[in-house]
Amino acid sequence: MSEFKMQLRKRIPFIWTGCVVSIVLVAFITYFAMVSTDESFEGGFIMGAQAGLFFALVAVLAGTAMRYIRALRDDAALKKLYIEQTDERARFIRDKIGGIGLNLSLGLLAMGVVISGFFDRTVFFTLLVALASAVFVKAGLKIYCRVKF
Amino acid sequence: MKTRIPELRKQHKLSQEELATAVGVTRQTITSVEVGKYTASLVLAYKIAKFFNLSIEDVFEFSQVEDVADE
Repeated sequence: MSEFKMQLRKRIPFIWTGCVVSIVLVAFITYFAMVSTDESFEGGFIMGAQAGLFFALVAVLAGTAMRYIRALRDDAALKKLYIEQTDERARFIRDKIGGIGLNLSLGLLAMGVVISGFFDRTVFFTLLVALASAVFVKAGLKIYCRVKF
Repeated sequence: MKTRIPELRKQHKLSQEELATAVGVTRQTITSVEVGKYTASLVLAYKIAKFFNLSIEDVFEFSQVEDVADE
């Protein structure tokens, strides 16, 4: 358990760093939105989505950091957190979701590539690159895992 | 896979939560193992068996596991 405690202590500064970077980015995006002359719906939507994503990231990171800090102070919370993070069934489910999720995403991307080809070239090539990247990542991971295990 | 975990828990007057904490997994994992939805790893099977001072075969029933070598 002391090893897990050490791991948590190491993770906390990284989490706070991520939090600060995200807050700076939210501030930057908000400032950029205020000085921007683009008043179209798309422009506002894009900036709102960007700021919202980083704001959500701040909330998740801050929540995680608080949980870790509480676990470091309270042994019962530490054990609960340890069990949650190392539970073998949860790990099995995560692995399964990862594999199935990636395959589903590949299938949907491939469908998107075919359908977008009839309407818009930019979207077609963007989706094609995304599909190729995902296939490349999957193939790379498969080779890596086969060599490692 | 069938297990004797519910029966052993009753004998020892233990809740799923207590057993789960003792062997280092969540209560949901114990539930899934008990109802046969999830097959425990060798390490978890060993921990559960050790907790009840029994062998793995005394806790888990392997008779229904297919033996490829026999086919």
